[in-house]
Amino acid sequence: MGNNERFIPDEELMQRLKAGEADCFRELVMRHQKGVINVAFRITGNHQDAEEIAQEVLFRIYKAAKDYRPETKFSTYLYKITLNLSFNQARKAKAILKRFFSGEKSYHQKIEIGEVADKSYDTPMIAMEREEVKREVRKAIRSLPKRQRIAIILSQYQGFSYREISEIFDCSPKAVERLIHRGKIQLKKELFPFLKKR
Amino acid sequence: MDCRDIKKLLSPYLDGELDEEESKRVASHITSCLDCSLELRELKDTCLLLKEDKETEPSQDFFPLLLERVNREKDRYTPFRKAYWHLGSLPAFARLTIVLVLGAIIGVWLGSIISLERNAVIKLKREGNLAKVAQLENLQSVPPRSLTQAYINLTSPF
Repeated sequence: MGNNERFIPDEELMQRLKAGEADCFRELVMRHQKGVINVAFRITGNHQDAEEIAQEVLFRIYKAAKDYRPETKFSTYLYKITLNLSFNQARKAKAILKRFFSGEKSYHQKIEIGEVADKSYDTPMIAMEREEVKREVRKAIRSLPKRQRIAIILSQYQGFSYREISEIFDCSPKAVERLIHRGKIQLKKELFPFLKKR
Repeated sequence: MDCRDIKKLLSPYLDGELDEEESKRVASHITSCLDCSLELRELKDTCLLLKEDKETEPSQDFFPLLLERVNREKDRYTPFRKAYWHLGSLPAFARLTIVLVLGAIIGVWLGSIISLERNAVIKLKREGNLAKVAQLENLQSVPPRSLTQAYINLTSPF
């Protein structure tokens, strides 16, 4: 699958995986691993959990290849599984709290709670400010109602169109438009002190 | 369209989700309305602020670990499961044909075994050899007044 070859849609890759072309799985993983990890991370707030969820999602995709039907859009299928597993994980609050309060925190947790600065070449002051903004952004997103949060994450971070999100939610693009609008208004309120600084 | 209607369209306008006509309407409104243009600016800044929280990269061992899991799954596959996997990739009519042919072969094979056994029993009956069967050593140990003995007496032609 070199650069000079035509772009193969995800659905075709799944069909070829179903027919026994194992290389297609590698291509699908390379295309989607980052997106899946990031969506899971923005829902669970924990990088280690996000990677475990992404492993499970992509493994399920591999196992389900034999039953895959091309009528189902691959990205809809993939992110439906990702969202389900991520929210299930987030619901296991007890386990997350236990991990949070016991022993050594992971590097990403330390970044998240601001114990260390993220990899950056900024001055310490700017780096600190950036970390604060990131923390507040994550907090603001997590404060949104579930559907608004999903719609905002998929549209603002994953570049999904309103139509694609509507396929995941099984609703109209107009309903997604309203969800995103309300979400943005809420985020604007939450992040207002940082907007003033810009 | 008043400001309230326009403000509802600002978010899809920023995301490039409006059709050409609506987009033009919003653009022309914000050039003359300070309140709406301020709202648009704030929404735009909010979206930029969201982008400050950049994407995280997968760890280096993410793909090798996944591949290891997939390979373990492959190894678990028996020849039967492998055949089932490939069967799943065939069109429906091909799968149906395979199932019918296999069914027919098994049916013929079972049929031949049953008819052979039946012929053998008929032959034994004709030759009066069932008595020998009833007098086999293992049946002689059956207690004389038991249910099994009663059954043998009932079914035996002698």
